[in-house]
Amino acid sequence: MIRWPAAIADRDALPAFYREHQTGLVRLAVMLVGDEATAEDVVQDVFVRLHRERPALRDEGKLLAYTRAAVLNGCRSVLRRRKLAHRHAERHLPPVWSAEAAAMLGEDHREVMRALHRLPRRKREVLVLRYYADLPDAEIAVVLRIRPSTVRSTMSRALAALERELEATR
Amino acid sequence: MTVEDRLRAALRDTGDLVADRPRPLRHTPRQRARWQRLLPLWSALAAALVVLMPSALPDDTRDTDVRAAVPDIGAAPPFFVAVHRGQGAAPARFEVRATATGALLDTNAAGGGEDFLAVAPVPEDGDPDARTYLLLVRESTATAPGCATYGVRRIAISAGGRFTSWGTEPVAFEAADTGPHRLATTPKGDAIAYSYRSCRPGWVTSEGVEGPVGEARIAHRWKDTTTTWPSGGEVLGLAYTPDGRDLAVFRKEAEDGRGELLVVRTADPDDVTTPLARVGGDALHDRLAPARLSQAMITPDGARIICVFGEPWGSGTALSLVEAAGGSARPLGPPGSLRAEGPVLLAQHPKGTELLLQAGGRTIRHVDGTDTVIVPDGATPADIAW
Repeated sequence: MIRWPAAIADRDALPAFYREHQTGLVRLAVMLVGDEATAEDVVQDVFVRLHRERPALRDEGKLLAYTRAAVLNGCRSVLRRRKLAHRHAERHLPPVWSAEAAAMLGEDHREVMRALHRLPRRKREVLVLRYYADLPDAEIAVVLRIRPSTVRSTMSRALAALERELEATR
Repeated sequence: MTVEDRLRAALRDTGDLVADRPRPLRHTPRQRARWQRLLPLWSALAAALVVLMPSALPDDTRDTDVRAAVPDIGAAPPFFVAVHRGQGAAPARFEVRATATGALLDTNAAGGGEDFLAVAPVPEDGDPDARTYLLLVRESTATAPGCATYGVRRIAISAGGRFTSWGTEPVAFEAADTGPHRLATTPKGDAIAYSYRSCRPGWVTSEGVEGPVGEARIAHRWKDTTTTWPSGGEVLGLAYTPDGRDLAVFRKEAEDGRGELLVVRTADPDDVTTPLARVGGDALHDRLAPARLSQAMITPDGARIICVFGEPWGSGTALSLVEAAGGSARPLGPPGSLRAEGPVLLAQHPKGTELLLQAGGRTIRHVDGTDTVIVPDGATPADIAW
C-alpha cells in the first residue's frame, strides 16, 4: 500500500509546505531560467500538479527532493521551448545576468552567471544545487537521479569548465 | 578569490533578487461538464442567430427584434459574483451574473466537503485581463467537535464573466462550524479581514487567546500578521477603508439585537468610533436610529456611508436607502419602494455610486436613483460582490 508523505496526504498541509518552500524554489528556478516570472510559473505548475496528482512517494523526507526535481524538470522544459522559438514564440524577460538587466546584478556576478549558463545542463544543475542550495552529494544525486559518484565527478569537471569559461572572457 | 567563492557569491546575489513574499498558489480551473466545455460554441451559435435572424424576418418585424433595450448600468462592472452555500446534496457554488440582466454567465461548484461562505472583490490587483475576488471557504469539519478549518481562495473572472483560475491565499484558521462569516479585503488585496466564532475555550493561538466557545470575533491579517478581537455581536458586514487602516464593521449587538456600524482602527482594535453619530451630529444620529438599520457600509471610496433601513410592511420589510456624507444625509430613491423578507446584503462599485442589494432571493441594481430587480426569485446567496 502506498503511503503518502504527510504534506501530500493531508491536502490542508500542502499550502503550508508551499509557503515554507516557494521562495527557495523560485530562487532555484531563477538560477536556471533567468527571470522571476518564468520561475514562478514553473514552481506554480509543480504545486498544482502536486495538489492534483499526489505522487506515490514512500519516504516523507524525500518530498522536498521530489519537488526540487520537478522544478528542475520544469526549468528544462522552459529552456527546451525557448530553443524551439520558431514553434513556441513565448515571450520572456531577459535573464537577470544579461546586459539588459545590468542594474540588477554586479558585473562580476553577471560574468559568473553568464559563464555558468554556457555550461552543459547537468554541470550547471550540479553547481547550482551544490553552491546555491548547499545540498550534499547524496541529495543532489536524488534530485538529479544519478549516482553520488557521478555527482562528484560531474562537480569536479563542472568547476574546471567554469574556470575555463571565466578565463576565456578576460 | 577562488572560482568556487565567486560562484557562491554570484548565486547568492542572484537568489537575493527574488523577494521573499507571498505568492498565491493558483489552481487550474476544475474540469467542466462536456456541455459546459462546449458552451462557447453554443454561445457563438446563438450570437450568430441573433445577428442573422432579423434579415430572415419580414420587414415589419425586423426593427423591433433587433433593437433590444440595453439597460443602463452606469459605470458599474458588467458582472457580479454571488456565493451560495452548500445545502444537502447540492454543493456550494459561486455564480457570475450579468449586472445588466442578472443572467447567469458562469458557475463553479465547490470541491467535496467544502463550503463557500463569503466573497470580497480585489479591484486593484493589477491584472488587466481579469477581475479578482477572494472567497472564504470552509474546508473541513473534522478538527474537533463543533470546529472546522477555513481558508481563503483567490478566483479570477475574465472580462467576459467566465471563471478562469483558482489560487490560495496564505490564510488558514480554525473556528466554530457555524456562521455567519464575513470577509473583506483592501482594493489591492494586501489585507484580509474575516469574522468567525471561537470553537475552543481559552485556546492559545499564534494571534492570542481565544475567548469562550461561540464568541463572535474579527481577525485582521496584514503582512503575515493576524490580529483578532471580540466583535461584540454578530458581524453582518465588513469593509476596509481604501487605505486599509480602518475596518468598518456592521454588527448586531449581542444585548439588544440593534444594528450598529462601527469603524475600528486595525492597528489598535480598541480604538472604535461610531460614524453614524459622528457624520451629521445629533439630529442625523436620531434620524439614522440604529434600531432600524438592516445593513450599513462604508463605501469603497471611504467618503460615504450607505444605510439600509427596514420597517415592517405587511408580512415583510420595506427598505429605504440613505447615503450619509459630509454631515448630511439624503435618501437614495423613494422610501419603502423595496421589500425584503430576510437579511440584506449590500455591494458597491469601487469607483462609482452604483449599488447592488440582495434582499432574500432578489437581487436589485440601484443606478441613478432607480431600483431594478435583476434576479427576481433566485436562491438566496450567502454573499455578493461587484
